[in-house]
Amino acid sequence: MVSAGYYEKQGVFKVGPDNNKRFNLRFNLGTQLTKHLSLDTRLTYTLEKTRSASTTINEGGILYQIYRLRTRTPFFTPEGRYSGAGSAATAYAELESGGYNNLDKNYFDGTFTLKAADIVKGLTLRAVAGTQFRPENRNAFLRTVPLWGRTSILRYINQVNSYRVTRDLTRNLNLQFLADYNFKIGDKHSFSVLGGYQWEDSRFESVYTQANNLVSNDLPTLSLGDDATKSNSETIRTYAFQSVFGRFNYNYADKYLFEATVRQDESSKLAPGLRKQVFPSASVGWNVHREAWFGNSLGFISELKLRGSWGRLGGALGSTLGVYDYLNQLSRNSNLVLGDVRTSYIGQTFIPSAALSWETIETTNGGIDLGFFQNHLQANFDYYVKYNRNMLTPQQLPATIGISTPRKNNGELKSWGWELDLRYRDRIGKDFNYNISFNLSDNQNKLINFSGRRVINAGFNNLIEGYPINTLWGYQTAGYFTSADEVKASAFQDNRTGAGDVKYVDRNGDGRLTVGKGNVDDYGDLVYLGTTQPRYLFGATLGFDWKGFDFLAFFQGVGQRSFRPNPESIAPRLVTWKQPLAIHSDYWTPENPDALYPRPFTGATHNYLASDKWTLDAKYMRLKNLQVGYTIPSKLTQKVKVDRARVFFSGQDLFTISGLGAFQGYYDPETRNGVENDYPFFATASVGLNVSF
Amino acid sequence: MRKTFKYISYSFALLLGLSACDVTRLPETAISDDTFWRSESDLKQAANYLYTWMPAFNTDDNWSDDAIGLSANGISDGSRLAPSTDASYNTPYQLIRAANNIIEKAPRATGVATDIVDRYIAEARFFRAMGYFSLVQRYGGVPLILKTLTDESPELREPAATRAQIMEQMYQDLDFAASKLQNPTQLGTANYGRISNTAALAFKARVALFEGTRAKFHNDGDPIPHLTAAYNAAKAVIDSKQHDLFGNYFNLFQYEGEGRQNRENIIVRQYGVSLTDRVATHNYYRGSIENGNTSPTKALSDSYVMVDGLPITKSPLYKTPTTTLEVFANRDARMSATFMKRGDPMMTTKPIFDVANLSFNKTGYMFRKFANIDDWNTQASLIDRPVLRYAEVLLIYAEARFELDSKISDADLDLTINRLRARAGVAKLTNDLVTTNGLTMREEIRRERRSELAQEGFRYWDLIRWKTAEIELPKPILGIYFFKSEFPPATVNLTPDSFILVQATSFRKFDPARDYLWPLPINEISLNPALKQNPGW
Repeated sequence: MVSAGYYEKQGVFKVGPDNNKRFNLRFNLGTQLTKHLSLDTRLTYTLEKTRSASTTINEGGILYQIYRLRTRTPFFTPEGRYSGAGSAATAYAELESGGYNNLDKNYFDGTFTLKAADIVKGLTLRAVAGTQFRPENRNAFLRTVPLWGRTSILRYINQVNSYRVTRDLTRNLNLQFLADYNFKIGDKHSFSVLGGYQWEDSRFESVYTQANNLVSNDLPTLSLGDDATKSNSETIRTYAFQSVFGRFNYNYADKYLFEATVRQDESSKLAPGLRKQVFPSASVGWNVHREAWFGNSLGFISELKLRGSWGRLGGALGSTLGVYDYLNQLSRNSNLVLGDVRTSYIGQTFIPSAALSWETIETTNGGIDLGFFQNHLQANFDYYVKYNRNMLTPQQLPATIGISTPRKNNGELKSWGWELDLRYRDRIGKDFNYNISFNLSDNQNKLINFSGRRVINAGFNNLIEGYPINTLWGYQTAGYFTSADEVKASAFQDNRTGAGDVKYVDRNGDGRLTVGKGNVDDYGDLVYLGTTQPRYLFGATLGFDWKGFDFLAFFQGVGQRSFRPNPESIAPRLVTWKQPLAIHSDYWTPENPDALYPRPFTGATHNYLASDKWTLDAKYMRLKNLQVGYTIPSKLTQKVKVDRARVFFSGQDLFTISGLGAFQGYYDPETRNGVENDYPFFATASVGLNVSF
Repeated sequence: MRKTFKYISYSFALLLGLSACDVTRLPETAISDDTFWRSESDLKQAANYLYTWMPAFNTDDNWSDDAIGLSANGISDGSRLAPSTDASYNTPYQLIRAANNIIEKAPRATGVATDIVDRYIAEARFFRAMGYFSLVQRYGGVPLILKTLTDESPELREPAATRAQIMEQMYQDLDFAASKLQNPTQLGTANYGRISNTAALAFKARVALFEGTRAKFHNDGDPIPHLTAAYNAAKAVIDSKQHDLFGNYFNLFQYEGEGRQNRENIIVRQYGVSLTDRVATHNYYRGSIENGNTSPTKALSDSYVMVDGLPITKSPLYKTPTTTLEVFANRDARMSATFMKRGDPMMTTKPIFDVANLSFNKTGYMFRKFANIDDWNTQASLIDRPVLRYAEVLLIYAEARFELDSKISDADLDLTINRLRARAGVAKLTNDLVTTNGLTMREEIRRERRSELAQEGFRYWDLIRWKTAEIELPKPILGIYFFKSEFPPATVNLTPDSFILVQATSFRKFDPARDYLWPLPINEISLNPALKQNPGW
């Protein structure tokens, strides 16, 4: 089987490079070598080209210029040159002429499976080799762009041009050997035994080089760079992982199910001597509806299954852990000037975590599967409790340690939650098929132990013992001050505070606004403002088809989430050059005491402290996907040798309701926390045609 | 059945016993600590790391009555609260650790000559003292850490050492450094910027003067040994003949003052190396000065003497100015080098300065040291920051002599302060001038220090050690006289006599029982219960 695909997306900017193209090719080949032996080959190739501007987009980058930097000065001078007057936004010049950042990914992936089936009846042997060969090339050019005043160049974007080349190569090898043996004893006892071994080897190599002050501003090449400015570096990261595992499966007449697994994992990222660990797990299931006594008594229930499981797994160390964190490494840098020349230095920036070991994730799960009316209505419910034990924690040590602290396996996180899934499908008449499904889940957690981290700051706190992870804390507000006398009569807030400013509540009555001792025992005037983790995630699908027409609507949402925008992005004028947004015009005056915003003035940071006022409610429901299609009757299409032809309209994120209130449209409920000027969220609509021959 | 189970269990046992391959992977692009510390080059690379902590440009004068930024400063006006964490506390301990690391491990380089090894240990001990000085100034006694700690070290939970213990350690470190380091001539041009023996001595003089005058005016301990140490160290630097004043005060803070030809700079943070090879640059002029993050006050402006050497309240030369330009008439030349005045080169979009933009420079004054029109444009200045100048050494000599004897000879004044005054085009300070005009010598020495070192981050610490912060800091923050003919119409607060009022005295307070020491970060106290918060915080 061979298949190919192409995808192209133009980004938000009409000027300059901002697009993404992807081409992929898939090749699957299955070969029966002998009676028992077969080889399955799957090869894929993906070419992805991303073209973007040479400067940053988020935070203080181009989007900030467009949204917030004063735009009263035009992009061009009357002569048509890029304008550099004042602190004009130069986004246009940067996008159009400021160079590029090109990323080309070439992914060659292959999976080869050699299978020997039924050499002995019920025994299957498999050898699987997965390989990935993934070069990524990045070429970035920061081009010099002059910005003009009336008669002369005022300044430059990238006054010194610069060309940067990165060559990355990721090579992964994954080997698996599996032996699977199925047998039955009598009619009712089915057994399945699996044994396996897995090996994973990964190597990442990166070479980076840069040249500045190129002779030509239009022919970026390292060869034309100023030799004194050329620099390069190399990074190699490797890791290996192996495990052996066995699984035992027993099933009595499809009524009683039992499974047990034991595995031993070993990872190169952990300290020698602590790399191996054994993880067991087991599960049981009972198909109640298959009991003879059941079928007669409750006929409308077509399925009833009870499930339970318990297991331990090695923790997801992958993302949080560097590959050599247990070793005492030194880092070298050369951004120092001594004797008026570039000077390098070598220093230690962290203490190695010499006792790095596995995190254990222990999960206990109970569930029930229900089917009614010949399974037209199906329901699943699960409840689970999960303990992350021996979690890696960066130790909280006094600053006298003087360095990034080593991590230890001494944290414990408990999380628990449930999932509910309901599906109904049926047909009306002969041609109208429909289905409805709904799912709802919730997850909560509590940090039980984390190296005694009990510090609470105003704003975002990721880890506090005794609380969920990723919590928001802030002051409680009580509207605005209405007069200078009221300011005087209240607890001291800030020496700029006046009428029209946010009034914070002095909860502990000490006459000041403080975080107290800043820990769980005394957090002063702060209040807990919820977590940034989404809760009550839900999704609903509604679909039907009728005589060639099909319809699908998928809603998705979150029932509870706190979101604290970056103060820089929510406040009107923390600095003079930030242009206010339309929303900022609803500000406090004696005549408008219930305004959305306090009185505006430059640098009024005290009005934008972490508080309940600026903690937004990011619950939402969004029409994630809407599809309407029509399949042309095959009678017609067959005449032109087409098996199936379908025209469709598809829309993503067409409609959203959220708890953001007045801020809807300024923030998206799915915006990341604390990011200023995030890349905008898009709704997309497309029409298309699927044809198969 | 039983047989089958037996086979299965055997297979499992076999599998678990199997570890087919070795998973060990070692770094290929980073050096490990165990293989380092072999050659002189290794020691130098390790010592270079310390220079990354060399103090950079800052707006510390906003803590004092000399300057204010766009908004009020909580240290200056007494409104700040104890922070949960503070880089002022954490960063010096990072430097101290890096220094302790070198002191411990440099001796591993057994193939390197002892005097060379000692030289790098001496650099490390200098920087360790620098770290502790920054801590002691702020917090008083702090934990004294003299070795690299691990997460298990009991030192992490120890109480603070006394102020005296830390001072003693700093003196030992600086004396060691002064005895082992090379002088600037020996360092030469290639090693310009490395710590020299005169740098160690000059820094010792700074530390000792701080502690000596603090002891004297806070009545806390015996000032004599410290003042004597300050005097001796300053004298040793002068006697070494390694340093001299740079010819032009304004150019001292411009590209003209760069490099070894400027013998006034004793400790310097270097920026460079060129606009095309921007290894380290700063944007102090545009980012801090022009944008108004630090602007000089009336208090600083009024402190400069007239060219006859007399303060404006005493000098017959002083006439109440009627224009901004007249504020600078017949004044100490250092004032024109420190303040922007009408006609000075300014920035690309406004090449010639007229008056300050009141929405940035809240006082109506703008600082001028390090102001450079090209740097404004590139936002990448390469001008070095002097951290310790020979002028300070002269001032320390004079102040220490005076505080030891309660008098100072004209000869000593000529050796020190009058050299600075000569450069500034101001008449000599003499005992006669003081008595004839009803001045006090202490105040004039202090005034000289304020004028010479303005905008370089000294004023706040001087107020602290002289115990005058309680007098100066509660005063209102005022700006320039609001010359209606020059300033565009603006809504600024004015005093009854038409000076710009930036912060009224009712918003400013200084609690002598509390504010002479900084609050320890709250996190540190909860992480180390043996650490006690400073009084009043």
